[in-house]
Amino acid sequence: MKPAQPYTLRDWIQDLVGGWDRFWFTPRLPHTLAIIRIGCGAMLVYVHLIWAIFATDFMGDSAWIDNATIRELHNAGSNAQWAWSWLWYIDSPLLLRLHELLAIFFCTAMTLGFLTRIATPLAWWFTLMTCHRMTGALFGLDQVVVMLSMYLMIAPCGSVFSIDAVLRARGWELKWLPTGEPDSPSVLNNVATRMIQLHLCVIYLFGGLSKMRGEMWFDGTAMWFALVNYEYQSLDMTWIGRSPFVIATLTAITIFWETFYCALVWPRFTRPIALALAFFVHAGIALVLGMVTFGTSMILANLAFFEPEFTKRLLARPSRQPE
Amino acid sequence: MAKRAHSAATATQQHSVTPRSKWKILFSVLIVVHLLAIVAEPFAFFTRGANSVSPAALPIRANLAPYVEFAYLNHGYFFFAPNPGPSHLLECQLTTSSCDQSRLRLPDRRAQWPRLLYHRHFMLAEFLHQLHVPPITAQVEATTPDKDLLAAWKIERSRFEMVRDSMIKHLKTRYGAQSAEISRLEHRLPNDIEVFRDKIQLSDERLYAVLPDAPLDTLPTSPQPIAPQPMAPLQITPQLNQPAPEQIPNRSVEIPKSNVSENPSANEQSPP
Repeated sequence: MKPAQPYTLRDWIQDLVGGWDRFWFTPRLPHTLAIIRIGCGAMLVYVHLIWAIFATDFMGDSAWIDNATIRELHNAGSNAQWAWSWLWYIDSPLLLRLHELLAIFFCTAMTLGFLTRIATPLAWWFTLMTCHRMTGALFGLDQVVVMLSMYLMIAPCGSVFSIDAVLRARGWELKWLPTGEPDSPSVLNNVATRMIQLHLCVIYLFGGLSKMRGEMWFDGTAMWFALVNYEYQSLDMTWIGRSPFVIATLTAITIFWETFYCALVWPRFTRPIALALAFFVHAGIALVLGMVTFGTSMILANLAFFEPEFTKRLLARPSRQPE
Repeated sequence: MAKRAHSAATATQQHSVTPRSKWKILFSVLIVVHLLAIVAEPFAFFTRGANSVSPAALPIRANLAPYVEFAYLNHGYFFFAPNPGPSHLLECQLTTSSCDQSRLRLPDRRAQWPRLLYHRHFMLAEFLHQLHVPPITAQVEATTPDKDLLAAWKIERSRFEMVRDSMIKHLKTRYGAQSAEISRLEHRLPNDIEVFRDKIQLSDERLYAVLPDAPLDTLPTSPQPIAPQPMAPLQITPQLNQPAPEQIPNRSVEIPKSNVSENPSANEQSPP
C-alpha cells in the first residue's frame, strides 16, 4: 500500500486556482437569468412609469430637490461628484417625460427580450441616470433593480423566453447582434449569476452585522417595533405582539438568517432553508411593511440560486403525445 | 433525477466555450475589483466610529470612489438597523396670497398613491431629517476652539438649509402658495403595553412630536439630534425597550474628520 502524498502548498494553490476557474468560468444556461430579466424589467417599467407621471415633482427646477440643489449636493471635490447624471441639467417637463418614456421603452424591450443585448444596457443606463438625479427619494428597491440590471446586461439572457428567441427561430436574427443559442451555456451567464449571488451575500451579511449593533435585535423586540411603524405598515399585524415569544422568535430567526445567509445558501443541504426564509422575510416586507416592490425585487434576486436546468425543466412546455 | 442532472451536465460540457487563459486572467482581475467595490461602502460604513472610519476601510473606499459612486454601489445595507427607529415626517404649512392657510403632511398615504409614490415622499421626509444639523449662534461660533468642527458643522447646516429651501420652493410652486414652512415630525413607536393595555392607536397624534430647529448654546463634539418636543404630552406608561432620543438610529450624527462618502444618497440606515 502506497503512503499518502502530503498535501503541499503547491497542491493548495492548484486547488484554489481550479476552484476559482470552476466557480467563475463554467458555462451556464440562461433560463434562470431570463426569468430574473423579465421580473426586473417589469419592475423597472413600473418604477419609470411613476417617475414619468410625476416627473416635475422629482426632476427639474421646481422639484422637491431642484437642479441647483442636486448639483450642489454632488459638488466637485466630494466623492458624490462621481454619481453624475445628465438630468441635473434638464428642466423642460417635455424632455424629462421624454427621458422617462425612453426609459420605459428600453425597460419594456428588456422585459420582452427584444434586442436584449442593447435594451438591457440602455435600461440600466437610463435607470442609473434617474437614480443619480433622485437623491433623497430612493430606497432599497432602486439599489436592487440597478444591481440586477447591471449584471443582466453582461449575460446573453435574451436567448430564451424572449422575442429575440422567436425571431431567431424564424431566421430573422440580426447578424450584427447575435442573441445566442437557446440551449447554449455561456460563461457570461455564469459570471452574471455569480455576481448576483455574491452581491446578495454582501447585502445580507452587512444587513445582519449592522443589526448586531442594536440591542432590540437581541432582546427580541425589534420585530415588534418594525410591525408598529405606522408609516411602513400596510397590514396590521400588531396582534402578534400578544405573544412576546413569537415576536422574539421571529426577531431571532431574522437576524440569524440574515447574518448567516452567506454561508447557508451555498451547501445544497441548507440552501432550500436559506431561500425559503428569504422568501418569507421578503414576502412579509412586501405584504406587511408596504414595500411590495422592494420585497418582490429581493425575491427575484434570490432566484439566482436556482440552477438553470431546474428552471428549464420547470418551465418546459409539456411535449405533445402522438395520437 | 441523477441521470437527468448528468445528461444536463454532459450537454453543458459539449456546448461549453471556455475563454482562453489571458481572458480568464483579465476577467478575474475585473471580478476582484468589482467585488472590492461591492464591499467597500458597507465595510466603511460598518466600521465608522465617532471621529473616523477604520483605516482598514479607507484606502479601498477612497481609491474605488469613482466606480462605487457612479455604479450606484454606495450603500451601507443597514436596513432597520441598528434598531427599528421612529419615522420622520414633514409638516408643511402653506399660506396663500389671500392669507388662507392649509397644512400638508408628508408622507400621506391618501394623497400619495400608488404606494411607490408614497414611499418616495416618505424617503424625502427621512432625507431632510437625516440632513438636519441645528444652527449655531454667533457667540458659539466665536468661542468654539475646534475650527475644523465648526467648518464641518457649517457645511452640514448649509446643506440642510439648501434642501429645506428647495422643498419650500417646490411647495410654493406646486400649490400656488405665497409662503410655506416646513417642520420635521417624529412619530414615536409605541410599546406593547401602550398598544394593548392603553389602547393607543398607531396613528394617535400623541405619538407625534415636532423636532425643533433651535440654535445651540454650545457646540458638542459632533452634531447631535435634539430631543423632540411632544405636541401633546403623553402621560401613560414609561417607555419599555424604546431607544432614548440620543440613540435613535435614523441618522449618522458624526461628521468623521475624514468623511468617506459625501454622497448624500449613500449610507442610508433604517429605511430599506
